[in-house]
Amino acid sequence: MKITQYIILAFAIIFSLSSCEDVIELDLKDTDPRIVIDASLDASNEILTVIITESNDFYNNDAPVKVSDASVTLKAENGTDTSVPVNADGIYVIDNYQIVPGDEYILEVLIGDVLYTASTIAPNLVPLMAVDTNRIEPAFGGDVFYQTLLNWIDTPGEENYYRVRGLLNDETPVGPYALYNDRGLDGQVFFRPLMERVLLGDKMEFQLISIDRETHDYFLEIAAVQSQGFGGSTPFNPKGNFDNNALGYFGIKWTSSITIQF
Amino acid sequence: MKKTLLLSLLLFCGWMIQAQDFTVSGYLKDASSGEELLYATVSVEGTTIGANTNLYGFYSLTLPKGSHTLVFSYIGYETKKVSIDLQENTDLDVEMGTASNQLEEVVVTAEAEEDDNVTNTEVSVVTLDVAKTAKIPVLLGEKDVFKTLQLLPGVASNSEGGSGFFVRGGKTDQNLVLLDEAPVYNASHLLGFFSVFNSDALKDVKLYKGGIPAQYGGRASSVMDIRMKNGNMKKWEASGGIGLISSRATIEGPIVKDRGSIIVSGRRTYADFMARVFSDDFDGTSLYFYDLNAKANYKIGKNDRIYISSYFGRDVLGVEGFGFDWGNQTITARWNHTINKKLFSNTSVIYSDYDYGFDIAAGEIDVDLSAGIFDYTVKQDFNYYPNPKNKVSFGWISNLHRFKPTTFVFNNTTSEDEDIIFQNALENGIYVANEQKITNKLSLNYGLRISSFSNIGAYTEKIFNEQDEVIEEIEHAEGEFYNNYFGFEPRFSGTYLLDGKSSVKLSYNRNYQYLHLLSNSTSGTPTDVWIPSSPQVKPVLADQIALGYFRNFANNQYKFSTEAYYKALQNVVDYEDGAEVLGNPNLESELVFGQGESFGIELLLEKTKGKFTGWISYTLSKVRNKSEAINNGEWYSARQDRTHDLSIVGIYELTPRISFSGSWVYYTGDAVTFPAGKYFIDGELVNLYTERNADRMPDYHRLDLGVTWIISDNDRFYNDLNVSVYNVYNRKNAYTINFDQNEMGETQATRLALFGAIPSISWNFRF
Repeated sequence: MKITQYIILAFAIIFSLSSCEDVIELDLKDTDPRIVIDASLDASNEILTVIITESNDFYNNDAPVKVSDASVTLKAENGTDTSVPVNADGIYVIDNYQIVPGDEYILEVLIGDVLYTASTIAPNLVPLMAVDTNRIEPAFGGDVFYQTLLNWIDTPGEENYYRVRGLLNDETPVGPYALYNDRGLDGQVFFRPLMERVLLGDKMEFQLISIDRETHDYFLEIAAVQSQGFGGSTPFNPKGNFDNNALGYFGIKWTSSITIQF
Repeated sequence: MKKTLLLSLLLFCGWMIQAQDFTVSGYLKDASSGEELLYATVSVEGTTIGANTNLYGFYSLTLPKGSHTLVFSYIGYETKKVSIDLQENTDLDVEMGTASNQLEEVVVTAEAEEDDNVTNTEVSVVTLDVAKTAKIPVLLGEKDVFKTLQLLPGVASNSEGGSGFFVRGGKTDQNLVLLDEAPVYNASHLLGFFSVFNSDALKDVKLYKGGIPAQYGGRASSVMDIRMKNGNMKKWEASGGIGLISSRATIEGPIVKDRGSIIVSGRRTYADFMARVFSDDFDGTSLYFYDLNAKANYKIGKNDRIYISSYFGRDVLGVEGFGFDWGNQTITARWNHTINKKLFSNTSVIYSDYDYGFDIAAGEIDVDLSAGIFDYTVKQDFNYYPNPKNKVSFGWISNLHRFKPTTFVFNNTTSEDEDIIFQNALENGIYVANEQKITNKLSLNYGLRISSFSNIGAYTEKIFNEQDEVIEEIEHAEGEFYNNYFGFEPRFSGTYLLDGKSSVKLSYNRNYQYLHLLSNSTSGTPTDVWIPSSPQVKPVLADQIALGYFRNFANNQYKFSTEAYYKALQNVVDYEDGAEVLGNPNLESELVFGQGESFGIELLLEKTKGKFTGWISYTLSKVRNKSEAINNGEWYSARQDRTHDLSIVGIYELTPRISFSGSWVYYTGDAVTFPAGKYFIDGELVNLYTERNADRMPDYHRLDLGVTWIISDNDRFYNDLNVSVYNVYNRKNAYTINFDQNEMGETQATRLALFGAIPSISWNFRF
């Protein structure tokens, strides 16, 4: 909970001017490496990307070890099985892969003799309609900034899941895990803010990502576990849709975006 | 069933009454203010017969016809002896003066009162002298009864500088906090750093860690019974204090002398003003709380008295369009009626609410989120004094809870009030208990409470599958009692005197808790939600047994006690991993249930007399939980499991005017879950965890020092200056530890220490 965090910090700073943050060395337990599968089918760009790695110890800052000898297969509901080859960077990729919304897709990853399987239902594309902006001039000086609000119309009669984010000046993703769903709001017009401030001169690409339920639920857990500390949840390992104890997830997404130069 | 039980108990006690006995009864009061003295001792000289005043200062003693000398004693007051010739039932109100010599404040207490800790049947009970808390140094000089309690065995603070507390390993929602009998649902201000209780308005604080008497119910771990002052009956008086972050003011006086009085006490912080002085960054920031306590009472004739008391407090925290806002409100109306010399009655009508929420305003968009709990209570208590060997209490309570679910209001348009469906529940209790002196050495307090809890329609009950999806909806009509729970709660405590100065005590209690606070944070935030028990959420059931040894020595200069306890909890409610909390209409689907247990040994050595007073308190304990959904169903340490908890408190009176005080606390760090590994998803770092709560925060310790200088103290004007330093040696105690990446992409553990060494000053006055 960002707000709580800010207020507690503000409180501590005001009252004591004595709070301090520092890096400490802790004696943490080591753990056996676990398989991590980060698999996303980008329906807009027709690309499936599967990154398979092993988890590291917390204080090990080497790049994660890639697993490049896996056998990866994407199975569609219509009966087509597509083998996913590994590229030079150790990433499994296929392109020009078109999906059928509402169909089930299964990803199979065979490492050694262990088979990891995840399935999901492809979502429909919901387009981003508009972005409302509101120019704020702080009363007591400071930089002019903008508040922004994304609008879209939920598709009635089906479950929809969304993720909203911004790409600031073509690079940094802003607000990585703003997730929404249409439970109790089926078919309604959505207005959702991009929480971050945008300054005059910034270029922002506002993205409305239509995602499947698996991605939504998985990233909700990731968001919960990352906001540790104040108001955060008890730490746990987010459970994706892979079986056999693999970390990570397999999801399908559509991206609709509007870019504004402020 | 209940009538039979009650009747047989009354008959049993009635049987013991002698024909030639008469009753002396009345109130015990402070001579200067007319405030009633609670739990004071009344004894008959030359015998072991005695009684205590009740929660309203009333006592009743039935004695053989003839001459007796009654000895009235109370801590800090001159003992008073009154000779009576008892030829008929007699009224005797007694006023007691405070000890004239400041230095000997605690020396003048009579033996009977001094030994009370050893001889009474109370086990696991802490009574706090509110005046004494003023001298103990605290964070930012805001004296706080909760923080003094945290320095005693079995009571632990919930976080650095926090006023929330864990009693014998119980979570904060397992504490029943009563202010003039009204339940207070969120007893903290500013996200937990201050308690809502303004010490200036308080008369008496009693905490039951175990051996909870039958008159109390509804929470699993403890009861904190706080009584507000009634107001000075004799003369008008004003008092207050000015501190670094807040100021307090109290005015009290007689409406009609010796018949009725009124007290109004207020407090407000001004941290936001201060902040703006320090830095421009806090323009547009609101950050304050305020409290208002008010109470009036009036005696109607000899046997009746009416009290109305009220508390109102609110927190407002806001930063540029985001804001939190929450508060409690209580109103208690009471009628004390002396039916006859042996039977005292109190009738209370109570209202209590707690509402909380936040507000996000961004340009033309304004989203409000709010929730709350509203309580309407009627309560009847009787104290019956058949003879000096028995004191019977019985009564009933009926409490209607109304839960306002989390409600969104968008641009002040949606969700009109009529759309909000409150969840209603009725909680009832009846009880009977007897405090009985079996022999000169053996005293027992035994009783039974029967509680019930009913969910009442209109309500749509939802049944969930394992994927947390609604598979069935059951409509309940308006007024339908669609779910009922009943609880039998036996209560027992006993004291056996080994000799005049030592005793062993034993207690057992069973408590049901029908309300649950869902919290996924360490500090109490307004996003915590209260929910009722329901068909899916079973009530928490707690059984506790405690055994104690009490001993006073060196002419009562030192008091020692040790207690061992074991507490078992069933149906403990918690969020499942990754629960969706905020505004979730299907919150019940996100819960997991389990069991818990806590056990430990508490030691307390107090020095109560002389220039140097203070105590050493130590607790060795274990708190653990078990749930199928967590940690593969294995036992795991609860967050509040603190193996060692040590407090040393000392107050040294250099002269009657100047006193020094210090406290040092040490406890084992909380049980927490640190990452063992890490991985990346979508380019973001995700920590990998192994076992729940298998790691420890660094150990906590801190020294606070203070000095109080009484500048003047006479009938016309009293004022003192209090200077203190919190965390003198600037220990960086970890409030949180975050695991993230630095700019180089390396993972690291970052500690946040909230409070370094903080000096503070406050000036207090009374005239």
